[in-house]
Amino acid sequence: MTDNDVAVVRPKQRSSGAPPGPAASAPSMRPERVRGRARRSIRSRERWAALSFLSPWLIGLLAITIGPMIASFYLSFTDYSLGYGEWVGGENYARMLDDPRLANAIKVTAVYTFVSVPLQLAAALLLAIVLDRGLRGMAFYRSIFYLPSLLGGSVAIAIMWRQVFGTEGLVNQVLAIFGIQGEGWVSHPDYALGTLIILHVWTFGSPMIIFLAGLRQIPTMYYEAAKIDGAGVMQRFVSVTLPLLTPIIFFNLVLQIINSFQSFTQAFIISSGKGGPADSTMFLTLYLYDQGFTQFDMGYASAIAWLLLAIIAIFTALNFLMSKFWVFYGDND
Amino acid sequence: MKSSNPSGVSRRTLAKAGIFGAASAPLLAACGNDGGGGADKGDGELDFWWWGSDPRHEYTQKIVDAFLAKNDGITIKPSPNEFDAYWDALNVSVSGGNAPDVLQQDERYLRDYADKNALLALDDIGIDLSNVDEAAIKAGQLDGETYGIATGLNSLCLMVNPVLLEASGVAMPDDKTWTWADFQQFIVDITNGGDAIGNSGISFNNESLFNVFARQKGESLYTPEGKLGFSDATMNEWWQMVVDLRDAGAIPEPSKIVEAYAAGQDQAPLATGTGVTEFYWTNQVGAIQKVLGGELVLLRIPGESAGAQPGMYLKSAMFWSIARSTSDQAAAAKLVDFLLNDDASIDLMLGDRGLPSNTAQRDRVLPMLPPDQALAADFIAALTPDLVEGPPVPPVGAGGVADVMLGLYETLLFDSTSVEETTAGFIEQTNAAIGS
Amino acid sequence: MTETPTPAPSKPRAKQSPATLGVKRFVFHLVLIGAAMVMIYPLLWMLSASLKPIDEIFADPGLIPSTWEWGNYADGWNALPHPFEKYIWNSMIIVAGSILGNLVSCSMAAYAFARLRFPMRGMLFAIMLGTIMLPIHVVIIPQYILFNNLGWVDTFWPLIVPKLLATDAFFIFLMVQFIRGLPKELDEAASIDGCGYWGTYLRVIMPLCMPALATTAIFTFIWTWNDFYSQLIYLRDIDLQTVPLALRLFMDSTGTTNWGALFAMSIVALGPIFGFFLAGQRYLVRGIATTGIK
Repeated sequence: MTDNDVAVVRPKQRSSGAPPGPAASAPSMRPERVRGRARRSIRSRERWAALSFLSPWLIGLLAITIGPMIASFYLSFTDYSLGYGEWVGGENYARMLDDPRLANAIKVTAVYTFVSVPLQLAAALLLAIVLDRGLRGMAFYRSIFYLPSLLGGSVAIAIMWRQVFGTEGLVNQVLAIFGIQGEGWVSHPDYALGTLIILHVWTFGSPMIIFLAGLRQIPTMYYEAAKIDGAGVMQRFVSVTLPLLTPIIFFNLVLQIINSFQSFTQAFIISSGKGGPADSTMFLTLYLYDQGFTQFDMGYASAIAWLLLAIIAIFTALNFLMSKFWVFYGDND
Repeated sequence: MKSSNPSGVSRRTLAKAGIFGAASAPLLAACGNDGGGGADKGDGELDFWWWGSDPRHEYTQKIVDAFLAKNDGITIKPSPNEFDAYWDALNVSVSGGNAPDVLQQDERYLRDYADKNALLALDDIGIDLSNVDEAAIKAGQLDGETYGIATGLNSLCLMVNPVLLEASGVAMPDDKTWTWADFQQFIVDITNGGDAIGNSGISFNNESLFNVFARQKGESLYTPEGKLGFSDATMNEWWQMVVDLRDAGAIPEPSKIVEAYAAGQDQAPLATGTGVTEFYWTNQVGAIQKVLGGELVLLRIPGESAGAQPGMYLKSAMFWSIARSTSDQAAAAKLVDFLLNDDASIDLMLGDRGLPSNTAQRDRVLPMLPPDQALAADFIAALTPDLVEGPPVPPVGAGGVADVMLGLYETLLFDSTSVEETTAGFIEQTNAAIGS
Repeated sequence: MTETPTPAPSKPRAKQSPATLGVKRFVFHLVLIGAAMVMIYPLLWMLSASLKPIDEIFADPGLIPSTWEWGNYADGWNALPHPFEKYIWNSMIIVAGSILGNLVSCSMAAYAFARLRFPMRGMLFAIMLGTIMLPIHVVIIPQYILFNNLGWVDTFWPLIVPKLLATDAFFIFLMVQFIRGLPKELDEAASIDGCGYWGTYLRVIMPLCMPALATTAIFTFIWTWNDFYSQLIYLRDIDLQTVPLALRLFMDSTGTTNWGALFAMSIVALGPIFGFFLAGQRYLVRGIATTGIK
């Protein structure tokens, strides 16, 4: 797709087509253009303003986040357990290299993330676009589609899910109509992760709502302009909706990847936190939890947490690097 | 807010200093616990934690009220929880130097907490142990000191649905003489004889049941020194039995077993009326009967008279423990004494925390027990004369062994490993967990 | 929005007869209703389980109970040490504090990141994102020690103060993304009109951010309402326990679980979030309609 496909104006180039009003400010009045001392004082005023806006966050960052993070980093070099710990150097990290259950947990987490996130976002975007059409009853559908996300990781969902995908569950009853003999989906090592992926996709409510909010922010005039130029629905989607939605897609993508790396309650649903059957749903977080809270090995658990953090950080950084090629912001930064 | 350990002040100062406080505090907590337990005159404020479900929460609250009515100057902050959540919360609060004063403990975790100096020795702090069952006291002892006092006793048993058994045309066995081979045949016959499955196969990963099996051969799961105490051959025999039952189609297909195990006792075949037998602890019979809507019969574990010695033992349903860091040792001791020995407490508790470990109280309340608890009590009463000394307290790290055994059992069921590999895997992973 | 009611391209639309249009719309709704059934099934299941006698919940997979056990609701409401409204009230206090905290603190930080230039902005932004990635299970013990030393265990503070300090970086990120999507010319116009940074934030950015604020409020409500772990750790006293904690009190994995009461109260617990979601959703739509960006 190129910018010239249709005569749709992106905000960056909008000055020619934008209606008059507050948005059309004269470039010469921009702060950057002010010279000398005045400019310096504006800069310093801006810095102080930034500090005041950021101060609650900075305090929280230092006291509630960074402090405990440093502590946990320190713990990862100890054999800390129930209030006691001694320095063991890099032993916990060395141990990771020779831990087949950890390797398995990384694999399980990766498969889960890279399958479920794209599927979930696709479902969320599709439903958001359908629901954004302003048809009758849309508020109703929107609420219904959001319902699974409201339920959270509740006990009832766990029980229901096991029953639906169980050996004699709803899924197999439906398959039986077509003469297919189903498996015990939640309890078979080859399929259990698959049902968790479905569960993840099924709770597409949150990204859907964010997509909806994003869609509502797209100015109608762009669509009108595109329509005047004779663009069809698909064309309008590709050249108006999609590019203007990229920040939201990006936002959802980053968040869902982080979320699914941290998935925890989902696995509790199938295995009550044991990672079964046969470690096939043993997420990294679950393994971390098992080591720290069931085996009381908080030192090793801290080391695993830092490994998890490193993995997530790498993927998020990659995401941001790649975003330069496809994400489009309305501001001039 | 009470300051529950002597170094609290310095840690608080550090915490106020900002991030370094948060960073260094966890390790200072280690120093904090050492000097605990010496307070002569406490503040009379007790945090009291237990796990259970709503009937237990309700009557325990009443016990607390009865205790407070008799003890002026003591206040109690009760905190009920669900079992899994309880251990998460306890781990964090002990690690954070803010342990509850009086708490329920479990066999699997007792040594973990006692070893980290989190628990107080209960021998000479004014708790009357004169009526408490000798075996029950031993079950909570480590290196000669008592860190937990059994609330009550349970035993493993084979629960049988008599209606379904009759429908399958198989006779009730004589559980005093039957062997594991008889058991296998029994299960195969039931499965072949009716619609319901003979055994739901969700207990062969239970390390306590395997312990009974090992003890019958004169071995044991753990030695008193905290090592593994069974031979490869014994465990191979155990897994072979599972494989034979599976191959005979006498237990459900693997995925159904995994499903039933994860779902918990209320959704397992015995409770839903699709399975005829399963091994459970005696105190679970009431809950299962309720969901089933019918009566069950309790049988002894097979092989009791055929081996070197009887393997069954009375397990403490749970323990009462006191935190070493308690702010009022005397008040905490009073509460535990009340829970164990007072009529008002046992009248409310009855058999809910196991058959009372206080033998005088046990005899007193036996006629008052509701039918399901009486069923368990009669079973235990008949069994007790035939038992030998129980197993030692499990070693540190034993809490993780249940998961190890479950994982290996599931893999074996799906035929991904051999019997020998499963045994080798268990020994290797368990040794890693218990650090030997 | 001036959209065609069918997915057909606009040009061929003129050739379609009203009948075809009607059929298409019918099929469209049919598909949506089918999808809705899949989404709503768990709720129906839960509702049905909450009205079943205990020996039927797991043994009978059907949705219609043989007898209607309305008693499960009365039982669940009163079976715990406190009547259930006490737990709802405790949850509400935490939710209200969390929403207020997140709305104020996160929007302030987001405005700074999206619009102001200051030293180390890129680095701080990266750190902020980094904190989203932090797995809770490992900072939990150091955090617990911190709050314990402040004397805050068994109070609502450990649950509310972090929100007042914008530790939910997710919402900062959400609002940064929204604010960055607003035309920057608006700020400049406000600046010309004599608004300072606070004036711009309060009078220009915040009103335009209504959708993001509503989203923040809705998500904060849902997540706080369902949050189990931190409430478990900080609220030990029976008098302070919340809805997610109370629901677990019906359970005992090795003993008697009061399933009927558990499901009944799960349905009750769903009421407030669903209600808030419905109300918030309407507000979200209206909020967008009244902003200047159409």
